[in-house]
Amino acid sequence: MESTSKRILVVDDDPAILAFVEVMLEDAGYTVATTDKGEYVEKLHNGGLPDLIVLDVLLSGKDGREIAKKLKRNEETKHIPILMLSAHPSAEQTALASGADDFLAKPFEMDEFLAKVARNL
Amino acid sequence: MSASINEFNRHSQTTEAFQQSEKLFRALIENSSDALALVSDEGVFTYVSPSVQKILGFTPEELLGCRAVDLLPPEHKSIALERFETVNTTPGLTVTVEHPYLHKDGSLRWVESTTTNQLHNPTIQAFVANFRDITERKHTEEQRRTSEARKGAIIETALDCIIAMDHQGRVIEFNPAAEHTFGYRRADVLGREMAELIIPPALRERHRQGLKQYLKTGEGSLLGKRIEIEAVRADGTEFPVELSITQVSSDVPPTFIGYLRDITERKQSEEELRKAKEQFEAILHNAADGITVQDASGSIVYVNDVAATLSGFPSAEAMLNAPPDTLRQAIQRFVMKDEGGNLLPVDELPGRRALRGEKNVQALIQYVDTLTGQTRWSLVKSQPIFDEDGHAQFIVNVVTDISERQALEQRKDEFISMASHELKTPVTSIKGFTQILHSRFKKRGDEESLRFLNIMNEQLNKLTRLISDLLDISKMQAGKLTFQEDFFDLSLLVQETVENLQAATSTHQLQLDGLQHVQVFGDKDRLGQVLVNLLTNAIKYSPQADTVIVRVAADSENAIVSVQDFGIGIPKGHQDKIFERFYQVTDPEEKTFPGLGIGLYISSEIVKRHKGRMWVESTKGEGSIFSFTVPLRERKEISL
Repeated sequence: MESTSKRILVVDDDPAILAFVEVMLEDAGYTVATTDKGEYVEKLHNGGLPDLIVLDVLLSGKDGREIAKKLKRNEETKHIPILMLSAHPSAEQTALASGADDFLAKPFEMDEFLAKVARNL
Repeated sequence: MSASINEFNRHSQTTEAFQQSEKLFRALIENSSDALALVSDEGVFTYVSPSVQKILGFTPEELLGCRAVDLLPPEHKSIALERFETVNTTPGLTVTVEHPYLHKDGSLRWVESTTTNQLHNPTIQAFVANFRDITERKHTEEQRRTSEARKGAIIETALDCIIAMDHQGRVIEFNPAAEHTFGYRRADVLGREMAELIIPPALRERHRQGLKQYLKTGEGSLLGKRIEIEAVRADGTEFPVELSITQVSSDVPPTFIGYLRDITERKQSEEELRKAKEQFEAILHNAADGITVQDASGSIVYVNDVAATLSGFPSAEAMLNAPPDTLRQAIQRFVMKDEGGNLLPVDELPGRRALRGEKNVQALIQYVDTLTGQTRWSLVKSQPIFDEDGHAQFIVNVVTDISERQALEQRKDEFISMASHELKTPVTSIKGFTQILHSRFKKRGDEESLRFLNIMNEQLNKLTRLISDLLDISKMQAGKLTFQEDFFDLSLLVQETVENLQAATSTHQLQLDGLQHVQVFGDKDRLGQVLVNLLTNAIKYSPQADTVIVRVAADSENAIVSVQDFGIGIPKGHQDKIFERFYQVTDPEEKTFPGLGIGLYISSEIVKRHKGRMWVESTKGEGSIFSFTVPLRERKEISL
């Protein structure tokens, strides 16, 4: 069961958000990895690639949109769907422009979040 | 024999001498410009000398035998006859009279006649009359009289005071204007020393010395000039006059005429003008704004220090006195951009627009200093001043440097943006955990806990909306609220929004009434925000009611959405104001409903941005209907 469940990487610089998103996704049956460091995402390589990335737009020291651009430029990672989150609803356009597959404004409804995750997998 | 010859000779000599003498007299009489005549006791000419022709046009022959009185115009006859009678009855009397005589050509000639009664003189036995033509003299006299009368009238009616003074400084003329101005009667001042009357005590001695000096040397400092000086009235009050003095050149010893004009009012208005100018100067000088004035050609005719400093000059004086080249260079140093950062053509500068007749021109301009690279933001307002023909004559530009305000505004925007982000982050995780708990309690079937968690979730939604509103209002003020517009079915949005809110509302039934499908073009999220605001208000302000009715209708041009509640209503006086920013209805009689007073403002602004309209119909105690319109737009319109 665990070996077949989809793997989701959550990137956010707020530990409380990482904590609840992790639980939310695990409760929904996904395998979850979390990190508050954007650099980690850029070093993803074959073997350890997630099936979807939940990515915050404003990370401390790093812009989520820059990470999304890099991932989408990289042949190895460009197929990975990215769901970007932001407390600024106005960031939607720039997020999608940077290559994100979907966007959700914080705070959000759990149902909507899970629906978007499922849709993009 | 010799004696008789001598006798004869003597006689001859005497006769000869007599004849000589008669010739002489005749020549004198005949060549005199005066005419001589002998008139009988009956008034008839018995002799007239030839000169009469020069005076009256008649030859002596024509006059002989005529009555002298017949030469007079009829109206003068009776008085002439009376005088003749007087002379007639008084032997030896000589009378000189002036009468007009009829000339042969019908004109009148003034003649002075001197008549002596020589009736008693045995060798003459007649009146001897001498006629002199005095027409010229009469004419001159008449002219002088007219001139005098005219002068008198001028003096009498002159608006200026006319005061004449003799060489001793005594008043010899004092016209009605002077009487009025100085408060003296002419009769009371004639002959008195002028200095005592109208010259203030402090100046009197100087006046006396001046007069003395002039009489001695012919040098006067005041003559022929127009000066302003103090004068004093009968009541002692002093006032300013304009004075000019002339000397009457023909009079010896000299007399002087002074023309004086009370200039109190002129002085006052000059003073007021000066004060007003000073005040304006002070205001302009000390204004925090830069102020410039351009003439119709666009040249700068006034700047204050602030404006000069903004243009890179040390002072207003330095800028106004700068040679044109320096001025041009100084102005070219700045690159002007509009609010959006686009280069601003010179013709689009507010001053130029005002010059073209636009009123209340206002623009936000960025001045980029090419020397320092610094950018200053200025709000420039230009106002034309029109001449009588309605052409812009001057342009007044008021330049407010808002660089600091702009920087502060930006910091505020950044702060609010950051604050809303920071506030939303914990709300996000609380909401996340709340929902996780909700799903876990659901599995356990703990209904009571689920109810609590629903309330928590709804409160978190409310908190989120408040935070969003604060961010929106900040953006709205800065004009930075963004819209993502697309075609959508407004009725579907209304339906979705009502369903979502109904799920979280247990107190009220949200009824959809008449749901017409209408296609509009706009920002779905923003219009959804308007609906949420109206619906939550309807619920909040109708605590005693249990129904809210939502309608979607359309006319030929607009979709109309209205939300009706049956709550407390809004008093008439507040209805216009509730769409204003931070406005709150406070009613001492009513229970107060706290809030930020920004929801309706944001909603109406969003509707305005969609070119729609928002309004309220309400009766206090019965409820309110809030409505808004959005222009209809079919997708196919675009593809056409």
